[in-house]
Formats: sequence, C-alpha cells, structure tokens
Amino acid sequence: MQDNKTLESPPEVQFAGVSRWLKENLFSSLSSSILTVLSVAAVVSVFRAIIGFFISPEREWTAVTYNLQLYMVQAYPESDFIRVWITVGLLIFLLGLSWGFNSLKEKVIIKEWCDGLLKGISSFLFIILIAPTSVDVEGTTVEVFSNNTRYICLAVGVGLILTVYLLRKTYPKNEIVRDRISFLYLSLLVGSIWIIKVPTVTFTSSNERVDPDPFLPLANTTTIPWTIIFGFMIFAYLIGSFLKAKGKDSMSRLILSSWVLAPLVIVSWIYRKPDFGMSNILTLDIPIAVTFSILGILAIRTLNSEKIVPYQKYITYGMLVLSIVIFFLPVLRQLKILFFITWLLVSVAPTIANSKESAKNLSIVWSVTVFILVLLMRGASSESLIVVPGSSIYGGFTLTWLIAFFGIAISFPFGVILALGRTSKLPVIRIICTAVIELVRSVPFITWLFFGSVMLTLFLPKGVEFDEVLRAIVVTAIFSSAYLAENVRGGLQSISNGQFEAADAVGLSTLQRITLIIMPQALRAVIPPIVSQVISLFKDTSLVAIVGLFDLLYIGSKVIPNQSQGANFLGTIQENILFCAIFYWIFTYSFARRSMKIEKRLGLGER
Amino acid sequence: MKFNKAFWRDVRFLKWAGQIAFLLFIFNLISNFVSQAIENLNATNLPFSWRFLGTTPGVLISEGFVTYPESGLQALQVGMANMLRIAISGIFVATILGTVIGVARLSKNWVVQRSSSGLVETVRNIPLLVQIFFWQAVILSFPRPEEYDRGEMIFDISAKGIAFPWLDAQETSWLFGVWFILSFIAARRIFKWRVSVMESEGREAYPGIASFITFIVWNVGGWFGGYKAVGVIGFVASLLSDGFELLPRIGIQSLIIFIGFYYSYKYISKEIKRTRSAENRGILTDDDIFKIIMAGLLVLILAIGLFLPFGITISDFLVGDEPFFKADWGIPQFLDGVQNRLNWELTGEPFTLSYPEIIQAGQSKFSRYSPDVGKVMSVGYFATWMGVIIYTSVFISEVVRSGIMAVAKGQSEAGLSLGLKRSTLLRLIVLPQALRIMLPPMGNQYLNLAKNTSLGIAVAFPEIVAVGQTIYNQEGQTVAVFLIWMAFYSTVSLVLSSIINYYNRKMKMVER
Amino acid sequence: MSIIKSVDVKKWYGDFQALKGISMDVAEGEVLVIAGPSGSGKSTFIRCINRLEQHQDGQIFVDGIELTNDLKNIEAIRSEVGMVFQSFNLFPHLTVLQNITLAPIWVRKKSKTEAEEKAMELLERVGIPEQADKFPGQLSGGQQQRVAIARALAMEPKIMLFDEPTSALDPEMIKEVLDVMKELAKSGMTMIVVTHEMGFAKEVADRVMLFDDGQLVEENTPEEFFNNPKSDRTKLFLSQIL
Repeated sequence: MQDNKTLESPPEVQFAGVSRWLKENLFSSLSSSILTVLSVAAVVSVFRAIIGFFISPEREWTAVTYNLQLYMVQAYPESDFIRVWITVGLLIFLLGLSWGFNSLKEKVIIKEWCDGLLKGISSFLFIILIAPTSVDVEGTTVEVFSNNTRYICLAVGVGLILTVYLLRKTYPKNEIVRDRISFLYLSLLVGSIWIIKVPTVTFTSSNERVDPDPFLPLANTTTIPWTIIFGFMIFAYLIGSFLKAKGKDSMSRLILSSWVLAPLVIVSWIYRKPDFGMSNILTLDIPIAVTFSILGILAIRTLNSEKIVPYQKYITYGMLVLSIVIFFLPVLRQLKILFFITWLLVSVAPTIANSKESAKNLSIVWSVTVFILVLLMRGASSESLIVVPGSSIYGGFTLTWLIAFFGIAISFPFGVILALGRTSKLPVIRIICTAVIELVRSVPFITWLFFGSVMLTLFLPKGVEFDEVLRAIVVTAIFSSAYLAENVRGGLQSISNGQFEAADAVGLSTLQRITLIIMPQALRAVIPPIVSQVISLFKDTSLVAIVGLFDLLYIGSKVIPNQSQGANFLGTIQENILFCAIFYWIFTYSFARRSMKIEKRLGLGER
Repeated sequence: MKFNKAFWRDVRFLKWAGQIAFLLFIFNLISNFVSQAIENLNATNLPFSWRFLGTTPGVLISEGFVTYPESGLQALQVGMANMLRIAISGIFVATILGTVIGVARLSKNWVVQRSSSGLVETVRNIPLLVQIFFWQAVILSFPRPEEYDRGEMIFDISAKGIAFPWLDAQETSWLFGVWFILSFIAARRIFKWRVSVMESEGREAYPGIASFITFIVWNVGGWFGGYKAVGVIGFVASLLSDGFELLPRIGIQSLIIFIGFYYSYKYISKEIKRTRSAENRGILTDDDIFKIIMAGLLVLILAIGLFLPFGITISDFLVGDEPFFKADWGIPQFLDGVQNRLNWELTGEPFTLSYPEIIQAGQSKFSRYSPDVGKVMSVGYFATWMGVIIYTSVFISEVVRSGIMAVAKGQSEAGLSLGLKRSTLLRLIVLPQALRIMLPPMGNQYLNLAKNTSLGIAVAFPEIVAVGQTIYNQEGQTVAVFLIWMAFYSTVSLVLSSIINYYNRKMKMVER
Repeated sequence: MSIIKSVDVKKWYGDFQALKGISMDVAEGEVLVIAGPSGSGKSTFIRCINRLEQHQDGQIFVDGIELTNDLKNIEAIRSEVGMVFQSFNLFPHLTVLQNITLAPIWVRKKSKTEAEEKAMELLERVGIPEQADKFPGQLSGGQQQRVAIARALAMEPKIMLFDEPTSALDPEMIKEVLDVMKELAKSGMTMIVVTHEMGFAKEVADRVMLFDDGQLVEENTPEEFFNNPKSDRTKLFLSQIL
C-alpha cells in the first residue's frame, strides 16, 4: 500500500535532488563557488590538452601497437610461441576455476547497475564534449576531431543513455548475478578485437612498409588465441561453480596447490623447453622418486608405532643433521633437496598422521609431492632449447612478472623469520636481526640491484654461475624480506601477551606456539600492509630497466625509440612511456581494488 | 643462582649456548663470504683497497659544486651534495604540496575532491621510474636553446633545462646566513615574551605582529652590516683551531678513551649497585647482563682500535695532521674554514641577483646556458625533482588525510557546536592533533623520498649512485663503493629519523 | 604429602620486591582461595607456580618435583598444572572445539577423534556443548571463560590455578563460571583460586589465605578467617570488602 505512494513521485524528487546536490557540493559558499569555477576551468583545460595530445597526428601510436609482442615477451622465438599461449591459457584457466569456485554469486539490482552505466556513459560524453577540434602541429593547425564526428558520437551516447534508462525503468527491481555482468563486459572486449580496426604497420612481400598504414583489426595476429582462451575461462568458471555446488570442499586445497605448482611448472617445463633425455628420467629420476616415496611411507608407518614413539625427537634431529651433512657433500642436487623434504616429513608425521586414515592421506600426498618435485628439478636443471639473442629467454612483461612473483614469494619465509628474530627476547638474535633489517632497508633498491649485478658473484665460490635474471630475483627477495619483516613485526607486537601465556600454560613448545598460535594471528592482522607492500614492490621491479634487464620499461624507453630497421620508430619515446604508464596503472589499480575486496571477504570469513 | 647437575637442560644455559652458537654461525658465514670475496678479487688483479679515494678519477661530472673532481673522494662528495639538494628541497615542497592535496581530498566541494582524488589515484599506481622518464620526455619536448636568441633573459625553458634568476652568494653570505637563522630565534623569543605579557597582564600585546616586525628589522639591519656581529663565532673558531693544532695525536686518543671509560664505568656501576642495596637484592635479567658485557666490550674495542692503523689515521685526522685521501681536513682545518667564512672584516652585499644567459657552447654551433650567471635546472635534475616530489606528495597527502580523519569526527562536532567556522576548526583544533598522529608515517615518506632520489641515475643526474657507478666502472672497486653507499644512506636515514623522533617526543611532552 | 609446597619464595621486579618470602603448602584435593588487595603479589605467586614468572629465591615443589631452571622439570610441572586467566586468552583464530583440542593433539599426540570426543565431554561438563563450532569472538564473556576452563582441563592436570577468573566478567555472568568451578571443586580437583568473590570462598574453599604487600598475612579455614580474623590487616581487608 505504501509502496505505490512512493513510486508515484520520482520525477519531482529527482529534479529537486539534483539542484540541491549542486548547491551543497559545488556552490555552498562564495569561496566554494569561486573554487568550483576555477577548478572546473583547470580540469577542463587539462583534459583538453591531454586528449589533444593523444589524438594529435604527431603521435605514432603504431610504435606501441606494432611492438606489443616485444613488450610482452621480448625476444621469445615465434616458432615456440605456442608455449607462451599454453602458459597464458593455463593461468587464465586457473583464474577462471578459482573465480567460479570462490564466487559468492553476488547479485546486483538492475537499477544500481544502470546507475553505474549511466555514470560511465556520461563521463564518456563529457570527454567527447570537451575534446579539442584542432591541434597545433609545428605552427599549423590540423583538424583532429571534426564537429561531424563529435555529433555522431554524441548521438550514439545519447542513444545509449536512453536505452539504459529504459532498461532501468522497466526492470528496476530485478537482479543479475555480478559475474554475468563481468562476462558481458569481457565478451564485448573480446568481440571488439575482431571488429575495431586501427592503423597497423604492414610490410609488403619485399619488406617495404605500406604507407599509409592500412586499417586492420586490433589484435590482428592474436585474435584467435585470445578468443579460445576466453572460451577456456568461461569453461573453467563453470567447472568451478559446479564443483562448489557439489560441495567438494577439498577442492579448495587442490586449487590452492595448483596455484602454487603452476608457476613452478611454467618456469621449469613449459616456458623453458628443457632438453631432457627420456633415458635420464627413466634411469635416474624415477628410481630416486620411487625410493624416496617408499622411504617416506615407511617413515610414516613406523614413526607412530608404539616402540618408536619415545625416540621421535631424536629421529627428527638426526634427520636434520643428516640433511645438513649431505648438503655439503658433492652429490646430486636432487638428493640434497629430497633429504631436506624428508626431514620436514619426519618432523610433522608424528602429529599429523596419527590415525589410519590420515596416515594414508599423508602417504599419498607425500608420494605425489616427491614425484612432482623430482620432475620439476629435472626440468629446471636441463638446458633450455629456446634460442634467443641475448642471455635470457625471459623479457618484457614476462620478466616483470617473473621477478615480482618469485622475488616476493621467496621473501616470505625469510621475512617471517627475520621478524621473529627481531622480536625475540634473546639479545644477540634481536640485535643481529635488527641490524640486518635496518641495513637492508636503509639503502635504496637500485643499489641492491647494482650489488646483485656486479657484486653478488664475488661472494660465491668460483664456477657458480648465476643467470642475471636469477640475480635480480635474489636481490628482490632480500630487499622484500626486510620490508616484510617490519610489517610482520607490527602484527607480532599487536598480539596480547596473554596469548603467549596461554600457549605456555597449555604446554605448547616454543615452535608450536609460534606456528599454531602467534603466526596465524599476526599474519591475519597485517594483511593490508603486506598487500600494499607487494603492490609497491611490483612497481619497483621496473627498476631492473636501469641494470639493463629487458623488462617492460626498458623496452619502452630504450629499445623501441631506437628501432630504425624495418619500421622506423626513432624518437617515439613519449608514446612508449605513456603506454608503460597506462599499462602499469591498469595492473596496479586492479590489484589494489581486488585486494580490498578480498580483505573484506577475509574479515567476513572469520566470524 | 644454583646450577643443576644436568646443566644441559638448564634453561639459562640453553639460552646462552643457543645465542653463542648462533653468533658463531653468523661469524662463520660472514667470514666465509668475505674470504671468498677477497680470494675472487685477488684473482682479478683488483684487490680491495681504498686508494681510489685519493687518486684523480679523470671523470667529468655534469653538474655539482665541482665538475672536475681531483680525487675519488671529492667526486663522491659531489654526488652526495647533489642528492642532498634534491632531497632537502624535495622534502619541503612535497610536504606543502602533499598537505594541500590531502586537505583538498577532504573538501566538501565535489569538483575539488574528485579531481584531487583522481590525481592521487593516477600517480599512486604508476611506478616512479616511469614518472621520471615522463618528466624527462616533457622537458625534452621543448625547443632546443639554439632556437632562441642568445643573450640575457629572465626566465626560460628549453630542452636543456629551466633557467631562472638566482641570488649569487658573495663573500659575506655565510655571515648573513647565520644572522638569518638567528633572526628566527629572536622572533620566536619576542613572540613568547609578548604571549606571556598577554597572559599575565591580560591585555592585547600583539605577539604575531611584534615577532614579525622583529624578524624584518633584524634582517634588514643585518643586510647592511649587522652581520658583522656574527664574526665573533669566527674569532672563537680561530682560537679553537690553534688549540687543536697544538694537540698531539696521543692527546686526543687519551681524551676519547678516557671519556669512553668514564661513561661505561658509570653505567656498569649503576647496574651493579642495583643488586647491592641494603633491603633489596635485585636480580639482573639476561638483558642487563648482556648490556653490561657489551658496554665493557665496546670500550675495550674502542681503546684497542684507536691504536690500530685505522684508529691512528682517524686520530691524526681529528688533530689535523693527516691529509685524508687528498682532502686536507681535520678539526683544525674545519675550524679554520669557519673562521675564514665568518670573518668580521669581510664587507659587501651578501647576495646579488643574477639573470641567466644563453651563450655559445664552446666552439660548436650549439647554445647552452651560461654556468656563471643565473641558475639552471638541468634536464636530469628537473625530471628527478618533479618525479620525486609529485610521487611523494601524493603519499604524503594520504598520510595527511588519514591523520585528519582520525581526529575529525568528535572534535569537529565539538568545535562546530561551539560555533567555529570550518577553517578555524581545521587550523586550531584538528591540524595540531592530527600533526601528532601524522609525524611517524610522514617521516617514513621523507626517508622514501631520500632513497628515491637514487633514480636520478636513469636520467643522467649525477647523484651519489650515478657517481659511484662511474667511479667503480673506472677504478673497479665495486665493494668499496657499495660500502660507501651503505654508510651514506644509513647516515641520512639516521639523521632524518632522529629529527623526526625529536619532534615526536616534543609533541608528546607538550601533552602532559 | 602436599602437592604444592613453597619455601620462602622471593621475587623482585627490578628494584621492587613483589614476594617477600612466601612459605605455604597445599594438600591434594584441597581448594585454596587467595585474597588480598591489588598489588599484594597473589597473581605473581601463582604465576610462579607454573613458571610464567620466575622466582629468584626460595623453592617451589609441585608434586615432588622442584621448579628450577631445568627444562625437564619445567615441562613436567607445566603438564600437571592447568591455568585459567583473567582475560580468558582464548585463541581467536580457532573455533571453540579447536581451542580445546589443540594442546592434546599437538602436545599429548592424541588423535583428532579422541581429542574431539574428550573436548565435547568437557564442553558438556561446563554446560555449553552447542557452542563447539563457534569462534571465541561470538561468545559472551562467561561462555568464553568456561571454554577456557575446558581447555585447561583437556590436558588432564592435577592442579588448576585460577587467576581472578571472574574479574573481567559482567555481574550476570559471574555465577555461571563460579558454578563450574564449584562442580570442579566437588569432583576433587586441587585448586588455587585468586579471587575477590568471597561468597565462593565461604562456600567451597578448604582454606583461605590473605596476601598483603608481598607477604602471607593470614591463613585459616573460611569460618575462622571470616568470623575470627587474627591479624589487623585481615580485619582491615574484611571491613573493606564485606
């Protein structure tokens, strides 16, 4: 009964609302009005200048579009490009899977969605309105945006607004799942790369550049792979939702482990195309894997039997000592790492595997882990068959990702250990850890990169060769762990003393107290600072351009503006820097937004 | 303190054994690395040495107080000075800009709030290096100076940089500089005096106007000769310098050792006395024992170190006997420098205005800005300066905004209900409280700014990292240069943190 | 034979002496209430018993084992003594059930099913079995403290120490916790309770002690303590609280 009444009066309320809003927010007082006028004038002129800059005929945007492949993977050979597509496809598949599995299937009211759309379309119209008609090019005025085009765009925009408004009026209360909206946008994006045509640099059969550049679809050579990958993502999303609906909660652990494994598999097998002989695998790897699996399963069985229980501690220490001794002996690297993993198994098996079922689960997990590890190590230690000019198969955006991901991932355990040392009660450990953290943090990142590129090899025994990319990763890990340690320290200090005391009173050992009680709470408390730390480190990876690694920024600032063979792009530094800026911006902004949403979800999950 | 028979299970033993084992492990690790490095360096015919600090590197530095340094040490000093130029001016400008943006983000005016938020979101998410390259591209897009007429001008932007008029320092500028700093102290004194008069006698005593007038009068008087009064400092400096020169090396070594022993003796005896008072028998905790051992150990190391070659060099340097890597310094030389600059016999105007000028570059057809008049902000300086300032001011604006928001709610309501306008509310109530909250994170941003100046190397600005790289490319002493970088940046961080901590503590004391 | 015995125990915090020579003993199955003004050293003393604080002079014996710097002794004593804190100190990132089963699984190496069975029994005993899968933040203060008691009991201690268990609770919740403690006392557990709840002392305690200024001023049965206080300080204390 009451609803009818409120639905009747929308038009007047809206209009009054708009003028009132204008008064409050823009013209509330004399000074505010002056401010509004001045700032609107400033903003409009800045936008006009920017738009004029972008669409001026002086700009050679083809320098960017022609070199997109260079930007993404630098010099990866065309013949092996399928591997790059497999990598991208795998990652997007996992993304879709996680998305489908973890999606809360939030619904959005059509009215709100339409409001958002209206805001977007009106901003677009605003830009069309203020775009300059002509631009000053070296003294002469050149028309870049004729009034006819402007009117056409305006008409299209107004048409869109009317459609959206109609949609809003007809279905105001209906709801759509938010994910479907995202899919709609994505499919529009994928569709547009088939349809939108831009000037593209093409060469005739005699390697002469066609002038003027013909209009070809946007991502000319890569439309098909992108469409296929988009299809994969939707497929993965559906699988993910299906699994979630079936209630398979253990899938979340599987998905998490796939995320951990995927980068390792990509780096050691897919991207590198390692030169391994099947004979090596059959004679060396499989026997080693089988041996260690059996050893592990035996260990799990016996460690919990009655006779051995009192000796568990000694076996664990003995295993540790054995691993350290073997580390210094000249044996296969695989064996060294496998011994350490076995020690980890031996130390946790008594507590985890104390029932028949959990022992069985642990044995399965153990065997699978051993096999995967052995295969990964085989891949990583074989020579790469990829032929590239230059010393590294990684370049461009791939390199940025590689350094950021592995640098940050490796720094996590070290950062946590440093933080624990810094807050320790034992003065020697505390002082040493504080000194390390402060020394690493006090020097700028670029000096660490120089350290890595010229000095790191000095400290290592002769013959230990480090790929320059690996050096950058090591140095990034060192730098990141110091900052991470400070963040984790904040979390550690926020835990009340009572938690320590309760853990002591209940009989937990120091190690158990740290891993079970303190660290989960500390880490949870500092997720926001850690996330912003990760984002800023991602931005800092651009510094490797200074030490000559071929990352995105180096290609944009030095490589492309010096291209004079084939397509001459000399001096196109402005376009390339702008591209780099926009590219980084898109990624960093999306991270930040995504992480805010995830933080909210984690807060929800706890209670 | 009783000892168990099974001492290996004693908690105290375990703690100390563990720490000593850890210490030995770390020492072992470090000595392994160091010996490996020395071995590798020896194999390449470039053993580790500090000699390069004294040899002439034969490089040309594009800007700085000396462009053709005579020693490696001087070259590095030029780099440090360049870095400090950007860092100090950057901190001031970024603070002001950041505060304006931060307040703008909280404005009720929709356009102002949206545009400043937009600016912040844009700048935050683009890496600093990209932004520095952007500013470099901006200034390189201006026409080259050849396209302008040669001659004097007031202000100019070209692809070689920005030129503007500047005050050139003359002989008496140091005297005036000190006088100028004293004027702040004088104005502050007057301000406090008038405020106390206002409070005790209950009448308007115009503290603001009085201090402002004092400031103006003091400086005008100083300009026309008052600065000579500062010459008294120079006179004292010359006496001290003579005194130091007479001091033999052993004298200063003994003095330092004596001071060290005195302080550590006082500290240790204080700690031990706590355990011997008549009624109580306080027990020393682990930390206390450790501190006592460290105090004693440090003094011993100091005493022995002063007699080792490096310590002897330092002591000679302090008494002015040793030319330190071609730089003839020492405390007496420093005092002599003070005396020369602050000499009451100097005359003339402290500063003169000079305008920039475009002249021919050497014998070529290119033009350049004259280095003798006006001031030129080179391309590298501009790009680094702009990039670092805008980037840091965006982060400072975040700090300001969260500081104000942390105070805003209840305080604003109280102030508004008292009838205060928003601007007065902000100025008198919110900002002072917010300042206390903002200080530590602001200090953090300053440290980041100082470290970010190192990106100048990407745009050929000769700050310390760039100069260091040039030097080690020339002389091959990578590790030594790295250690110098570490020492320099650690010192800068330490000084900055101490200043911030000092203000932090001062603000806290004002509370109670 | 006493299960807890302290001989002239002294403790300093820097210059300040918190315990000035406490000698006492507790028999097995006895319920001891320690009362006294703030700062009198009561909490310090019982925290010395399970080594959360370290005494500097004198001796403490728990079940015949002396509390020294010997790691083995400390661990043995801690496994026999359970503690309930004033601020509950439940682990906020674990559910109620996980809070209780954590120590049995990781320290006593019990299996998960066994530990959970025991935990549910204990939750029934303290009266809140339905809260097993909730997080501590979702429970009221009284419920949290009862979970804390269950958590301590899960390790099957011989002695339970209570450090002002009801001081942080709203008045309506004090009763539910005291009821659990009364049932525990009746079942024969040795308990040392530092509290201001004199009603509890009168009802359940076998002995009451008064601490003041780091010293044991008076100890007696509840009837004697409340009706015939011998020391002046006891009289002053009683006049202030009753």
